[in-house]
Amino acid sequence: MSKRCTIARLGLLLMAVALLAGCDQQAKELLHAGKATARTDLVGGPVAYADTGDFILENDKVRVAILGFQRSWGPGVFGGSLVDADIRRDDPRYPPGYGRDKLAEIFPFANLLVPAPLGGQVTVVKDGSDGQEAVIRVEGKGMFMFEALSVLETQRKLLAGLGYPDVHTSIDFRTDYLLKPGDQFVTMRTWVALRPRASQSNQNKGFSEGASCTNDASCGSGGVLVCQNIGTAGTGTCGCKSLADQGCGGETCAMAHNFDDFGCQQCGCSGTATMTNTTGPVSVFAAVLGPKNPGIGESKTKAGVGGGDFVFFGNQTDIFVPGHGFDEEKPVWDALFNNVDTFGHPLVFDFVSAAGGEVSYAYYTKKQAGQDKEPQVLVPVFTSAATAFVTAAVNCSTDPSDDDSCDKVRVFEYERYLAIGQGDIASVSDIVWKHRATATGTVKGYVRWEQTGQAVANASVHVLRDPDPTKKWTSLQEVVQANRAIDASPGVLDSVDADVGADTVEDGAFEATLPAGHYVLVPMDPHKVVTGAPLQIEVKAGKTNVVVPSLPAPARLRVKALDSQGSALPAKATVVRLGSDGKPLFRDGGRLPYFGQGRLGIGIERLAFGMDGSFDLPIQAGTYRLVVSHGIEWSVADQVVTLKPGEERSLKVSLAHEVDTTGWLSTDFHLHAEPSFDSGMPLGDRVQTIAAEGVDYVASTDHDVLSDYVPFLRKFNLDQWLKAVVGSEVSTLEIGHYIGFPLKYNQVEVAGQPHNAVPSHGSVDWYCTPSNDLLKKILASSGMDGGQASTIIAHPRDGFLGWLDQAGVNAYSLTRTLSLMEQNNPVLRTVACDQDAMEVFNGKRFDMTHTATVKEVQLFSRCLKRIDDAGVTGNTVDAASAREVMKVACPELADRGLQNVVTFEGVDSCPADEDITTCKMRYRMALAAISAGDINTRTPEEQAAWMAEGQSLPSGATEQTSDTALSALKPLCDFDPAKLSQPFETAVPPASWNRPCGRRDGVLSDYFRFLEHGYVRGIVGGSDSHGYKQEPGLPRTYIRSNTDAPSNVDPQTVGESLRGSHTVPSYGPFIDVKVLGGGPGDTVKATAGQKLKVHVKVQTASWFGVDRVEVYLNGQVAQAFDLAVDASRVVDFDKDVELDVPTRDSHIVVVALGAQPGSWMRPVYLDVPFGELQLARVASIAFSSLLGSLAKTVFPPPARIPDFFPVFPMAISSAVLVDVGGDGKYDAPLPLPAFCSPQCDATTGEIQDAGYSAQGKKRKCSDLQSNYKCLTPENRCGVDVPGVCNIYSEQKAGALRSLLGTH
Amino acid sequence: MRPSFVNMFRGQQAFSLAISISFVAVALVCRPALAHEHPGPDLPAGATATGDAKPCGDCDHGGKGSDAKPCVGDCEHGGKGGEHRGCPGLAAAGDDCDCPECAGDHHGPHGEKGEHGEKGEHGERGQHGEHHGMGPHGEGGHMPPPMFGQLHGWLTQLPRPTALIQMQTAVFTGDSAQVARGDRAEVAGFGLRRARLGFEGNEGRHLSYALSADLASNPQTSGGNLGEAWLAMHVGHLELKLGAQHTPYLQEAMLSSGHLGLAERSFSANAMAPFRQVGATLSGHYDLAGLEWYVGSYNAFERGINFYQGIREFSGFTGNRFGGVSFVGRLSAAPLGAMGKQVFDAEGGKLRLGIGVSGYTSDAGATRMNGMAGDLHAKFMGAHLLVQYLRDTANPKEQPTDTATTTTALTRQAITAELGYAWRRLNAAVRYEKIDPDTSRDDDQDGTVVSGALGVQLPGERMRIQAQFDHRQEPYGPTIKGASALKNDVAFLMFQLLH
Repeated sequence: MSKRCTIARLGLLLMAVALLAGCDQQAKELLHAGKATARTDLVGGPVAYADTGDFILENDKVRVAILGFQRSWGPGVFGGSLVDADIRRDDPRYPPGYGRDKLAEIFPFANLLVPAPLGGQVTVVKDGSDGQEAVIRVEGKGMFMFEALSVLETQRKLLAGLGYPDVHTSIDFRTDYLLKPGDQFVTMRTWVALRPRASQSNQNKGFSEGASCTNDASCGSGGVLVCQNIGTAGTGTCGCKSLADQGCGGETCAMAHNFDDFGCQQCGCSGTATMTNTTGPVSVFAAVLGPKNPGIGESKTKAGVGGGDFVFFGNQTDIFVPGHGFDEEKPVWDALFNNVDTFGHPLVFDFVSAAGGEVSYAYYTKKQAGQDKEPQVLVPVFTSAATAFVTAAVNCSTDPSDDDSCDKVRVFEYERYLAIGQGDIASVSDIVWKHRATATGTVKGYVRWEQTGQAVANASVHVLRDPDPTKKWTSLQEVVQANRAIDASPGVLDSVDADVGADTVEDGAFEATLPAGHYVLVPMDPHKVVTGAPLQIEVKAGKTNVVVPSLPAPARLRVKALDSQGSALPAKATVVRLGSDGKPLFRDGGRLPYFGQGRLGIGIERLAFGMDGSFDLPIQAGTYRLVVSHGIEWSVADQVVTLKPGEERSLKVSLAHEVDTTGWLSTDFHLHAEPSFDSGMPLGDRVQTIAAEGVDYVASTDHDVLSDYVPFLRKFNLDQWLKAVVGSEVSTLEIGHYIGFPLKYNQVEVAGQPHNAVPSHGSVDWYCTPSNDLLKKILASSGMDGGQASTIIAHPRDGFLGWLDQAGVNAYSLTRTLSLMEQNNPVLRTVACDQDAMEVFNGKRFDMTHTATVKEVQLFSRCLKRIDDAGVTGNTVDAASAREVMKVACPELADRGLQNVVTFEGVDSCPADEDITTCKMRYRMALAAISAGDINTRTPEEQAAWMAEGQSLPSGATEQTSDTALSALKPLCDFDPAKLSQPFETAVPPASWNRPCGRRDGVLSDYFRFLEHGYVRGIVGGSDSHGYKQEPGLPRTYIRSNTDAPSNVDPQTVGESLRGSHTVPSYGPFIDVKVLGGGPGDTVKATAGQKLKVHVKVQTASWFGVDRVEVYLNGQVAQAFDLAVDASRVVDFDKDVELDVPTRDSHIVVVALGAQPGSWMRPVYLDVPFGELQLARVASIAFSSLLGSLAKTVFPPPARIPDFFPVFPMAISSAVLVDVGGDGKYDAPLPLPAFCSPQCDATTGEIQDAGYSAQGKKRKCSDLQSNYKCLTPENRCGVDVPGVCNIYSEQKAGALRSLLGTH
Repeated sequence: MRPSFVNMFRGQQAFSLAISISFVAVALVCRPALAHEHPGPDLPAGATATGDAKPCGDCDHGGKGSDAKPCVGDCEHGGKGGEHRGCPGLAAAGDDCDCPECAGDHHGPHGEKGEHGEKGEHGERGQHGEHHGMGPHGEGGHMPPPMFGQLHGWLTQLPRPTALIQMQTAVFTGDSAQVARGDRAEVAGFGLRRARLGFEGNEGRHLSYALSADLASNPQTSGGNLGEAWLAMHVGHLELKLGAQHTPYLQEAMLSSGHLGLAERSFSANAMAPFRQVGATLSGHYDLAGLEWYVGSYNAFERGINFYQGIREFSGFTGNRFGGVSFVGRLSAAPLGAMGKQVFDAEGGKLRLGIGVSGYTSDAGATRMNGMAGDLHAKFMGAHLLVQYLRDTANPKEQPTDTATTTTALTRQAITAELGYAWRRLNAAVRYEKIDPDTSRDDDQDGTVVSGALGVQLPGERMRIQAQFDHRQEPYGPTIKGASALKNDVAFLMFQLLH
């Protein structure tokens, strides 16, 4: 070696040493808070929202992003929220700005208010340059995320009257997001400052609320409001005084000054008190409302503050709660079935975490000084995508002893943490244990295949509580059963991934820390197919356990699906696990939801989709029923296979197109995928699931974002099977959801932008936009090759997310009455009715189709109550007696042989070894199936009663009349448990049996009434599919078309067919209706008294059927046909139905239904099972809970309508309109609905639309309903709702401060 | 979870960059000195013969042409050569210097190769002694006239195409037959077993290379359809081969699929030998008692989910999954004369005996796998016997702390015995196998297999037709229930074309 080289090598060595030292030092000092100025500053990832201009907080471990002053494009509304979070990745695959964020959004709330930061209220407090900490601060006035919640503010007097005075609904927020070097968690420290107002007691002494000292702005700069002239009786007035006059210095306070009991500012700044972290279940409303609220925690306290966060983990993560594991939905549904109000009795968890594969999160708190145990987070609202956590609360006592430390304090502080891990639950649990200084030991090892000893890369190891360490557990089921006996949970405490996250060395190794204790470890393969034998260990603090659990080899099932010509067919494989009796296992079957296998129901083990007809399914050994399908028009292949461990089986099946739909396209205009925050389905998977269901034409309709399926159609070579256009579901929070398609989507433009630079991809911004303007915005986005966009109202009767419900539309009078909670919501001043169509079928929501009758609802409620109560004594359930009681739970159905409801589905009782909880669900589900079938089987009497409720009102009825009618209806379906022992005829008078239940309205019922009012719009069925469990095309819309080839479809023609109502929404059957040569949506001419032949042909594929066909004339059931149950029949009904043409213009509608078990679509289409929670449903539950809590003493609980059921084959044809008058058009007997907001002349108040005229004379808005006005600037009839909506535009207008002060 | 040095290194990008720059700088500074220390070949490739070898007469520049002419006379230099190259089998026999054994695969006028390796169902390897081909003109080959030398040298360095097509027809399959369980087919019908295409060549007299791909899909090959991709350097008795190649483990696994006694290798060889992997092999070949040794290092091995899936090939093709390496070694001898590349005793000669022992150790991340194998191969008067024993163990690197509840070592073993006879171009063989995929317990993976085959090799050894029947017995299989045998017997025909 040359000397020169030797010197060079020495130099290299020295340089390496220096660099290593330097790098180490650099890593330790990495601490930064600041504005992102470049893409590389951002977090990045599949659901990253932040962009340049937003704020970044990072250290050597983690990087998070916080929105600046802007409207949130995430599930929240306002800015300042934590939207992105990831570990730091020193991995060239993930360069800066291209991380793996999978968090949707987190933002604090207190008393249901959330901060709405304005310009300059998101700031860097400490940039981290001191090496100590980096802090980003978000301040903001508390606003209600849901305007509906402003009822707490607007109805303060009402609340006080109900016994809830002084509720704090005027709050300022300050939240510091804080990082220190080395932290793997973000500290979120929030201060809430209560804005003062005169207390209720002082108001009672003469200080009106409005005279309280709340508005410091009115005193101008340097002035403060003080109370003056306080008399001995406590009366007085407020006025302005300078600080000097007050004897105060010129101090400024960080959050709040001191105030007196009258809400008047005093010298000095308010001290800060720390809110108490919750360590057990307390009522959320107890904290917020004060002493008279129901539920846990009643004490002599005043209204207080409950603080926490809205945490939207997002659907690209799997939520985990210690105890229930990944089955976090189970406790929610357990609570619901036990009629537990989760606000009064919230769910309680040690912490809640979410695994995203490459990144994971945990939300938690830690014990405060003086607390002897670790706190827990309270969960009043929970879905897999959206959760509200309450972590701390404060309620001052009525006892004066705490006045100084509590009552006079205006600022309260609470703290919680967001841990960010490698991708599994264990990596965030580790952070939690460490942060809490919990004594832990280590468990490590690897999972291996039992047959070869090979390490299983990316396997997982689930950690369960050992229910009895003295016992030897031989199966997972034993362990779970023993754990359930302890606390009703399977006892899943942690989950560890081998090769966690983006580990490049896939050697199957895992490692985790666990608190000292006894555990059972259960390994699982990376595809979540097989589990290994349980393995018991004892973990000791500071010690390490090395374990090597084994997994049996999964079996494999290879299937090839072909059409009758032998060509490959996109198809779906449904694999149902069969028990030893050859019948499908009940509910989850062999799936383990608590280990993250998800829930499919009816014993289904696997679903798979094969674009070229090929399936390769790893599956655990067992006996299965394999059903291969291609949607509702095709036959299925159905066979039983038995597989042993490691066995591979190849099968070839052939399917045939059975249903003739010539001239009709099968469409689905309501589909979601990963771009929607509440869907975790990749776009490619979405396209595959659509093609496998045999849908011809679809629109992608993600929530508030445009996405394009076309690249995936090409990728999978599906052009001949499917055509797709770009659309969006404009998902307002409080005026319903609006679908628009095809919309402009510039792929190049989007591709050229980073995903989170244009998070909506051009979708319509609905914030503070009334519905008429919203429709205009959608139409303005028309584009692609489809001409004018089509607009559809989604799920119009879906409570909080339903257009008709939110607008307060009375289903009988079609007038509007805003609910108490929406009376201050300005976007509800008017209601648009100009959309092209509305969904009469949405998802598998058979609870939203027909309006149930009083008898149906009461009968369901009575039977359900008996099942719920069966064998229950206190907190225990006697299984034997419960089984006996349930066998006669429904005497009301004795005449149908269904006193024992499970006989409906061909069994006599639960299996002997089935636990009572599962057994009860079996009865509940059978009952729900019967009830839902009955509700959707419309008798002539029921339909006549429905129509009569509206028609009993005199023409031009006022809303008072209709409201009276409604208020008379509602109590009829309130269930009174006290009457359970009475005979049904006594408890529910027969005269009311057929009357509609006025608390829940169905869209099909609405449709008939709309037709009577001449409000003719298209009707559609949309699957609203968010994942695998909601099949695309179920329901779907058959739409008349001039081509049957998807590749030849012209979107413009589809739009025209939709606007022309040439549609047949369907859950399976295909209805062909011909009247005088016309079909659905057509207007035909006829003569009064003429015998009209209506040709009705109903077809179903050979594996399901219809057993009832109903022909409606003018909203009445003119003829109904009960058919023999025969699923194998393809043409179920084919005949001419003769009707007498009445003297008025008419409409004819046909409905087909399969309500009997032999007609159902199992297992190809999954039941709506126990366990499925949608955000919409949870929001409804939350608001019902709020109202229920407020008014529980006033109103009994409303009757329940079954919302879990099998899929019933059901279809409805759009109305064929019959022109009897001879003017060539359909003239409805009733005027256009009042709830629509017709255009009006502000000067005259007259309605411009001739459809609202009476006898040729223009009517005024007030003629529609007395509180209608011709509103300006809208120039539409509507309700003059006060309130502030767009805080951002108001800020620009300079009026915000005072406006916000009104809160 | 395991900290990775690579990841740590990646984490320090600035550091990494600086180090890289420094290395380049050092390399530039040191280049002359290093070059001086490690002088490379200083002769133009292909232009110079060693001169100590004589022309191989009719073998035409080396081994022998594709028409299998005998290389009488000069074979000791052309076929065998002083470097133990060319026709190892014949050289060892050394009697009449007929080179039929050379005639096999693709050793054209410019040297030869063992053969383009191929793979059985679970991979197989090419002939041992492969790539003993000579330089461009064959070591000891005759020199072309000087005026044509450059052109000739250039032409003879062109890569030579290689091909292997193998079609199988299952004429009978039992109800339980499954490819995943090692069976040849699970339904009756035609199947393309192998469709390999590639090329091979030499670069100078010390370098040879091969690249091939298999166009027939093989679900067991995790690394795609790569066949071989290697570069070999030959110096004296030594050979260093780098790239994707056959590992030197077990006689049967090292044989070409065209030279087996039956249409397919034994189940146990397919399941327990590592076959092709990415790495480096150093080998030595000696005349003395036909002694050969091999040592190699490759990316760590990865087994499949069940026994019959064997060891995945080319785990390094998509990166070294475990970050660890394996080491394989083999020592073999043929004291009574070269065994030839065929299992059969095609020449019907005197008694010959080949013995070999092999072993491996593989650092597969959290697991360490160790394997050993022994083989005995005898030929006499047209008959042959091949007996093999294989045993391997997968061990956790860190022993479980509670052995009462967690698994420790998993050991498996198998023994095979094959007996056959060849007459002219016809051959017949039977094989018995006993397989125990987990010696600690009796389960449905245990089994015995009896196979029988009849075959004919067409002239030129380019074409082979063979019929085989496998009967399997799995004494603990759930479908047997102690009553009847599994119905996973398979009968199939194989047609093979080599070039």
